[in-house]
Amino acid sequence: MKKIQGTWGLQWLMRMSPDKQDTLLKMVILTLAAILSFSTRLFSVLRFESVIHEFDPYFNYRTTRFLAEEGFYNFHNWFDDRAWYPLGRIIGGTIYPGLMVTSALIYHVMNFLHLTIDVRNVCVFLAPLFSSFTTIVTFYFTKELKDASAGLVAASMLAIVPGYISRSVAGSYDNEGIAIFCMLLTYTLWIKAVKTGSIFWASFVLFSILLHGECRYLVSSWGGYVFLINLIPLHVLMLMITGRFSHRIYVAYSTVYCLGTILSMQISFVGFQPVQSSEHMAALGVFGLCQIHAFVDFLRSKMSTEHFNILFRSLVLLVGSVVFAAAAVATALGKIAPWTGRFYSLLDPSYAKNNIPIIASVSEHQPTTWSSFYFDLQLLMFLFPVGLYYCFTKLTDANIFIIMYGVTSIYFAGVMVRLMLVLAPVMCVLGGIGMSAVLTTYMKNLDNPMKKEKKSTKKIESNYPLKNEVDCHLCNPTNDSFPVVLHLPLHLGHLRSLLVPSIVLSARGGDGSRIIFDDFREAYYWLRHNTPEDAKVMSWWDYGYQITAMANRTILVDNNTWNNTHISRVGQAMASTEEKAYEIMRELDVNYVLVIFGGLTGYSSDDINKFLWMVRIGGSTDRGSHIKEWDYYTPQGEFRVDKEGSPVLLNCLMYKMCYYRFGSVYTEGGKPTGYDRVRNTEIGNKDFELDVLEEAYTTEHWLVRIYKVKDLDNRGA
Amino acid sequence: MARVLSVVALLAFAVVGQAVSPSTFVTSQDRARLKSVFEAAAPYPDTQSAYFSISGLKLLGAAIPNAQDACKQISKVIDGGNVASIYYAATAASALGNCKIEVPELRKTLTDAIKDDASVQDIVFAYLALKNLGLPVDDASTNKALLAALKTDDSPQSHGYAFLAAAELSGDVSKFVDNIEDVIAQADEVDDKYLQFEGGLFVTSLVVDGAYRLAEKTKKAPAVAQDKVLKFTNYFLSRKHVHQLKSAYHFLSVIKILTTNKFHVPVAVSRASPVAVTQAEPSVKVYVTDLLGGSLGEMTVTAESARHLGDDAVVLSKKQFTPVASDKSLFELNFLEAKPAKGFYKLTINVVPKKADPKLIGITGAEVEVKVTTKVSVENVEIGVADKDQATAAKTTRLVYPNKATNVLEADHHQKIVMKFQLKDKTTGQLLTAHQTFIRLTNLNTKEEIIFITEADTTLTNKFDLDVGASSKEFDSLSGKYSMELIVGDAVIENPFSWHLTDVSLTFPEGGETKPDKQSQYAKKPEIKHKFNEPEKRPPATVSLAFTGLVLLPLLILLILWIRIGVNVSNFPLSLSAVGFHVCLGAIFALYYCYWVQLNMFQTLRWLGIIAIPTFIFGNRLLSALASKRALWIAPVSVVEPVHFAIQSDHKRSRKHK
Amino acid sequence: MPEKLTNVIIKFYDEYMQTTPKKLKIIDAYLLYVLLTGIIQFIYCCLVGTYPFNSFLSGFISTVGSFILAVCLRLQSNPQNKAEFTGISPERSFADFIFAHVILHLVVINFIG
Repeated sequence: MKKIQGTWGLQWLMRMSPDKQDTLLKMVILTLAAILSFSTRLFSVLRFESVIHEFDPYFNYRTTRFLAEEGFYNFHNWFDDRAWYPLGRIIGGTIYPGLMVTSALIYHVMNFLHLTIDVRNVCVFLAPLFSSFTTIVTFYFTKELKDASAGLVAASMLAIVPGYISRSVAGSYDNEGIAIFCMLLTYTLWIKAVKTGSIFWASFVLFSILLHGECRYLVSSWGGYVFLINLIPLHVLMLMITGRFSHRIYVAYSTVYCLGTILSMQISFVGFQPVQSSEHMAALGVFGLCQIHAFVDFLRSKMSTEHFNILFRSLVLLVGSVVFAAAAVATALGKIAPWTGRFYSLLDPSYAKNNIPIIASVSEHQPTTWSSFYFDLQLLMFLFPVGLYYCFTKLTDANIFIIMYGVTSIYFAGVMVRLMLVLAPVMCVLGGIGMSAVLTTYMKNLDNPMKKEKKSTKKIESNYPLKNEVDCHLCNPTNDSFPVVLHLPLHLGHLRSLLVPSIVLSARGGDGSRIIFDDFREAYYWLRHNTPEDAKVMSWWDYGYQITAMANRTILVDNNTWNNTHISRVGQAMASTEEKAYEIMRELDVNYVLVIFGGLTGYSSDDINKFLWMVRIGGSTDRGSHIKEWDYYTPQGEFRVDKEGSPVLLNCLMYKMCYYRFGSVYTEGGKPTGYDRVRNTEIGNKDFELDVLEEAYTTEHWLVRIYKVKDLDNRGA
Repeated sequence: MARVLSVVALLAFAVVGQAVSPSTFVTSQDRARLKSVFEAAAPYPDTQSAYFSISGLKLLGAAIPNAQDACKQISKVIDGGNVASIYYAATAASALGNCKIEVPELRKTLTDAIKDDASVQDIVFAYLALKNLGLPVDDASTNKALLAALKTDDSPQSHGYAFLAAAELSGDVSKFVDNIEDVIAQADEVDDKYLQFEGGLFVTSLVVDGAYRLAEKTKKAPAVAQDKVLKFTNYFLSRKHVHQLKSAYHFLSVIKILTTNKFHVPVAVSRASPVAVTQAEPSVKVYVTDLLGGSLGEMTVTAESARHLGDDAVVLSKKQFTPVASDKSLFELNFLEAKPAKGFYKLTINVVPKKADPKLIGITGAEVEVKVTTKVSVENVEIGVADKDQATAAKTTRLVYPNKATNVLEADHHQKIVMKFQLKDKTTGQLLTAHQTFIRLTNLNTKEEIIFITEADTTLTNKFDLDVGASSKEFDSLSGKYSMELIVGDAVIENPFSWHLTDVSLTFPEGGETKPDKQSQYAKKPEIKHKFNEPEKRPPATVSLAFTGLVLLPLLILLILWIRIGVNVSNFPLSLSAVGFHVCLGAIFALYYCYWVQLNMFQTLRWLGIIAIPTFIFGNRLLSALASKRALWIAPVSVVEPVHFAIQSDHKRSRKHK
Repeated sequence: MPEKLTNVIIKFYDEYMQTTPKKLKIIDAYLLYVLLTGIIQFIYCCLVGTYPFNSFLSGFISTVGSFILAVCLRLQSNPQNKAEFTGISPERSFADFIFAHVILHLVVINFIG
């Protein structure tokens, strides 16, 4: 029965014209890729539950809820007194609202259609949804660059590339999720605009540029984002240099720049940056160059060469002297000060990292290792140069763009792990181009009855006799993306680690069973239910968003690291002795202190391991000048918590809070009490009491410890 | 035989512990206070308070003020349907004597109350009320009912009530007597010193009171060990400061029974002299009394030992107190004869009555605390100013108590004030240390006091160094004159003193870090006010207007140029789509104006959406018409692609093809 | 040299007046108008200051945007450039021009405050 049906289906397929078959197959493949990209990202939901991961997403979730409930204008004017106590934070003016607006829109539309879904689920599934959109956009992007078959390969690769999956799993509700979509959409439209020279397409670029604002968030505060906003100007500049500048380019770029500048300024957090900060000056410069170039072209077309030369020379003379005079006057008046730190960050993306400890403290800002290049990109690493080669063989305006994109993003991704996300799509695109081109080239060697339909060759052959070894390997007769599919299990092994929500941890028990550590939520809910409504909780900034979102308590610092001094103050409190810390905590009106401690469970990203950053950040401001990083090392320059450790470290607040009562606990068989399973040492200072704090709550696995700050002593005591 | 018994008793005490003898009794002040508690209850709001007040006063042997009025009040407040109310009234009335309670339904209420399923309390109250009213009552049925009720409720309180009733019941009460031991065993011990029942003074005294009343009746000592009696007694006496009427009555009642019963009468050994034994008052006096302060006859009182609390040295043993002639219950002992060192002592006292009396308990191991004090003198006082780096030897002056130094000491932040002194026991001439030795510096202007502690070294010399520079924090860097005082005090020093040594003038570095005022952390912090950005100054209106005019100028130029180039509007196609399109376009820009003036973004977008649709349709039609027209003209030049979307035109464009 | 320059300019002007189609001249006039407006705004900001910066920016960008869009329109509708803009008829380019203007001014109004 089944067989008959299958045959019938095949017949039906055969009856169609080759063109129709081609379209149908393309659509099927594209749909499958989109579904695949959606479903691979659902692992964590299946394995755990529909929760939001990480830190930032909690903030985004909270703001989205606010937006959905209170409406846009309230959201825009939202002053959050729950964070950054006692400063507060103007949320509406300091975030890129695109993500929240998108999900709130989806939420309202769904509810309008009577599909009741709560805000949290919208947030959880937004990233997978957008990654399947990205898959489709990648197809069009690559199609614009080369052809549809390359687009299909690129799309199916993008669906499963680990570098992208890791940032867009269900529950990681962050700007990155939709930023990549927006970025690719922008570039697609840009290519389209360049190809046609139409204002219409260029205008659409603008909309995506508005969303592009999100990309800025993904890369904000460090040098990397220069890359994204300058890629298009760079492309134009490159075209000018290579003499490919045309009216089309002029139309596309001028429109994009003009409208884009004012459009991006609509986001209040962007403010006037596009016309003021040095990162955007390149775009402005290219815009000016465009005008001049076009004007010169216009003149040239209107007069003889000889005349033109005279005019041109005098114009250059005039403009040059005016510009020089203006620059001199402005510099003299101090209006332009180009050689500042920000300028260096333009050239050297690691500048900010080296000079601002808070940026360096984020692990995502570390340089990428070679292994992670491979783990995140898999075989794309090898297809990438192939793609580049094919692009070079047939240079077009669009190809120059993708080459620039590929080369620059590889450089930036090498500087910072985080930018791997930007690299992943271009890797897919170039990889797709490369693979498709290789297949097209070698497919000719096959004994192919349907050779004339070159385009569809690769997709429908199910009965090819294989001719030679090369083909055998490359053209496994089912689908282009077969080699990628081969790699899928390989991916998944690696992905397992990516798909675990960081809010719920799991480990293998001694008997091989799975233990789930749900300590974070336990602690947050404890705070929510057992502390006064107006309690202020001090913790390192990593946990700020989660505390506000889940415990609903006021916090001092959070993941939006806009105020370095305030964070530094918290770092100082953590790094000081109890007495000193108490003063700071009184000053900041702290009621509870929360630390993450992994010594019992072996959870390595706990506060002791982050502690050096607290010291560095704490010591980086004036008021923390008494905190010197060197004091926290042993004389040999090591950071240790055992008996050899520096006495300053063993008596600071953070140490005491983490190891309070730990000295009497057996953690591992055959080891003395107080054996820290992360640092693999026996702690140095075991027997101490807390004077100004009292333990309020410690979770089941000691992952989170909460202390209450004691009130002032009675007068005269 | 009695000897053997007492030896056994002694052994028993030795095992149980020493510190259980009561060390206080109900003094006359206590009685007066209790009396005032009872008297304050009148006029009585209910029969219960009447009962407690009247019975309490009677126990104290005091007269009841206005006995007749009291009687009337009782009759007034009595509740004939309430057994407890009747009981209290009846008992109070009988205590008053000469007072008749007449309530019609009272008898029936009471007799009905005595039944098997009534509560213990009701049965007891009804029974006792009937008794007190002189009405006939069936003892046998009461007995039965009580036992039945106790089965359902065997709390100590119920048993206490049952004992009270049983003490009056005729017939076999052995079942109740047997209960005594079980009930007593339920008492909780506190601090090895007290025994009490859950429910406090009221329940405890009720049970003990009832047990002894029952014992009186059966003429058999209650099954309570002597040490337990003492612990109960200690508990009662610890609560002798009660202010509640009910507790006061019960307290008094039980104390009374503990002094008058024939079985166990605790002996209270209490200190009569002040705690301090001094040269002027060398003797320790003790009262040996029963709990109400009554004399127990002639006694031999022996101080078994006197132990120093600090070093456990025993300074005397087996020393007999001599009776004081004036008071039979008062005994004294010259303690200083034993030449005790200063400090606290615990005297262990045994009491042996001249005439052996087995009912007296708690006669051994009574403890009394005394302290031996002494006078000190301060010697070898030196004070001076030294350099911080010890470069020069300190110049010091000697001082003699209680004189003040003549000159003012001056010190700045590079120097320190040094001081030395010794304390000497006046009687023994030995050096000693005091518990509290302070130097107090008082700013003569602000009266702020800064207090430092001096410490004694191994040679028992007290030293005090004040590093002026380092302690500027304590002084808030406030330079000026300070008075300097030495304060010495101790519990065993008879003559604590505060000696104004000298005045010092301290100089702190100017502008030194002024520590935030210690007080300020308690004080209210200044309110935070939001500061708005000051708007920048705008140019004068005329300038702005002038430029507005200037901006309009190019428009004029544009029009002139257009006219010169030869624009004409006559070719304007008067089709519906053309007109509609221009109207819609105008509407969009009008909408923008409204947006600028009043609308918000969402409203604008909604309107824009509405207007955009006709604009699109009209524009599309207009432009395709134009395109086809042009295609007719210049078709060979290029193939015009179909136009897919909103295409519009306006005057200039529409005329161009002319 | 200056004479030569003026010569060149005059010649250029003449050629322009002769060869340029009328519709392009109309656009050029419009361009000149927008340019002058922009220059006046620029002078204003130099003399008086840019204080409500968003208002100034929206005004200035409005002129710049209009200018750019007009230039685009001119380029696209210039018959000489036909080859470069395949598939874009003058009507199409004009539609784009209007469309972009609608968007530009929506944003400008939003930003003007």
